[in-house]
Amino acid sequence: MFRKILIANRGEIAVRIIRACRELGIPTVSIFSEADRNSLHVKLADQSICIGPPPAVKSYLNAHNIVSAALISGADAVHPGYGFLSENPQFAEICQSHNLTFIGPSAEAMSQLGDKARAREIAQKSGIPVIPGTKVVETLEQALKEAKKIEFPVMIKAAAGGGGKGMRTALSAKELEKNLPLAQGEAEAAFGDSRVYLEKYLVRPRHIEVQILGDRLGNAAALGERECSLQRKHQKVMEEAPSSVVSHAVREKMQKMAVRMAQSVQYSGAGTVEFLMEPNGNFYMIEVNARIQVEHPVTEMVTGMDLVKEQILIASGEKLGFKQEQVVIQGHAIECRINAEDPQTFAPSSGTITKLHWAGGPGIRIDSHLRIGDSIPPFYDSMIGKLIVYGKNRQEALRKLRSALDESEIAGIATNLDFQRRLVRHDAVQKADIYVTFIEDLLKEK
Amino acid sequence: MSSAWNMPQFLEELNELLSQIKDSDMIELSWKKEGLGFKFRRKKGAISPYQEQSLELENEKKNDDHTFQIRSSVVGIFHFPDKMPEIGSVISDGKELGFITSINVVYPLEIEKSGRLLEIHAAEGDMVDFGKVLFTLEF
Repeated sequence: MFRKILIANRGEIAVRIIRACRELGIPTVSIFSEADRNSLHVKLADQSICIGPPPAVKSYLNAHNIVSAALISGADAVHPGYGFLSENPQFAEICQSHNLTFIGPSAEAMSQLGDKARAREIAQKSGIPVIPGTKVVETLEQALKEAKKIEFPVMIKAAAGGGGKGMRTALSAKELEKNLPLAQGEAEAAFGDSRVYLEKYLVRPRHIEVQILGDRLGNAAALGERECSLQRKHQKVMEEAPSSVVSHAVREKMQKMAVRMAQSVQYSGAGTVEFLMEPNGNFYMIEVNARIQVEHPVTEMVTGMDLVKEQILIASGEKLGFKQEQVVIQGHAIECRINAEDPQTFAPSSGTITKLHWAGGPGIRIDSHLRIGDSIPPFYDSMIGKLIVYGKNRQEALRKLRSALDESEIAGIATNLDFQRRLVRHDAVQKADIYVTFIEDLLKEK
Repeated sequence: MSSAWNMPQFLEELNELLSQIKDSDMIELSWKKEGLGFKFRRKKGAISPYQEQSLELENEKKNDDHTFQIRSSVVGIFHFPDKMPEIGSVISDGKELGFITSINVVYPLEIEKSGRLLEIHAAEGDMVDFGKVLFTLEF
């Protein structure tokens, strides 16, 4: 087992990882930017090191200072969390070259899966359906020619990206002309790689993703699916497990594909294979996220597993502690992302927390780094916590979520709590009649 | 710029040259072409295989009371030079007060203008993080 783990992240996920390490009896090192000096993750870790000024590019993305922090603190492993350097194969390689275990898949697997175009090729070779699409398109002429083959509407996507960055739709050739350079510019800004490709745009699909775990010995298993159709601008807002539209037979099929995908790149650690499902039930793999996901708690609630602990055990060389047939999905879990943002404009909100109360009780879990008096800096992601509920069925989980959202209170900054309260009461959400652009359509109704 | 200059070709050559310098341990280089050119000098010790962002070697912060502080802008281990600076002594500009080793890179701590050393905030071999105050000097 590891001597000491450095957590190369901040916020709720850094806190989540520190808690897992504590339970495993592993000392932790947290890193922080000057803006996060008083954050909870700094307080909870056994040791903390300031690695740079507030802008992420100079701190949480500063591979040099992070690796140096790991080396001088005597850490022998680095947990990257999600975002920042979590899917950066170069960072994983740097860690490895300094005898630091990167808690995640190999740089090689990450490179293959992180490149969305390459991931598609791998899926196709493994017999996994993918949305009709193209190779990387560089010029407008090339893009127009390719778009004609797969037919409009099309989606422009970043080859190196995720999280909706560098992603734009084009319903016509005219829109493609306008949006191609915008998507390329966004991709360059977000990932330092302007390459994009086109994909057929599906009408009202659902987002269904399968959680996988693979060890370093070649064993892999799937832990069921999550439905993440409630998104705004490709950022997930509310997620649940299991999905209301995935039957046992479909789940088996998707899980087998996800495991095949993982094994085709010798994937180790926790990962997510994302699919889009059309209303007719056809589904296509869209990408693989080679890291722990924000929404991992819903899987933990319905499987009874601790995914972060599993990541650490796998990285330390342990064999997967269970077989596929031992995975049991029980009950229903829903997660709400609580963001510091203006309820009308969704613009990030920063300030000091003056009042904070989270709901509690059986089946309610809060993953957050928030405390009264904390300042929310304007430099990072606006997510300040996750409210997760568990019920014996969807109905119970929804009732619990409604009650927990109503009880929770945050003051001092603007949050999306009210929006979540409205969302959970919506008839379509109650009936699970949702799709990936549901929230955007809902907002247009206003 | 003379008509003999082909800008895209020039940029290409420059890029090629810079990438070669990046991969070498070259310290200084002069380059001239058709009467124009530049001189390149790598800062002492600033050789790292993965420095994507330029790391400032010094972080001087001026205070209102005629003092200024030298802070660390990297994460590493602090060392004094062979001769440890003395409190009360006047340190001339360009003088190395100490250095930080960060992974395999040495970052010298040189001051840009003279000052009297008031306080030393670090000991030999200390772990230093970003922003750590190392020295206080007086103008």
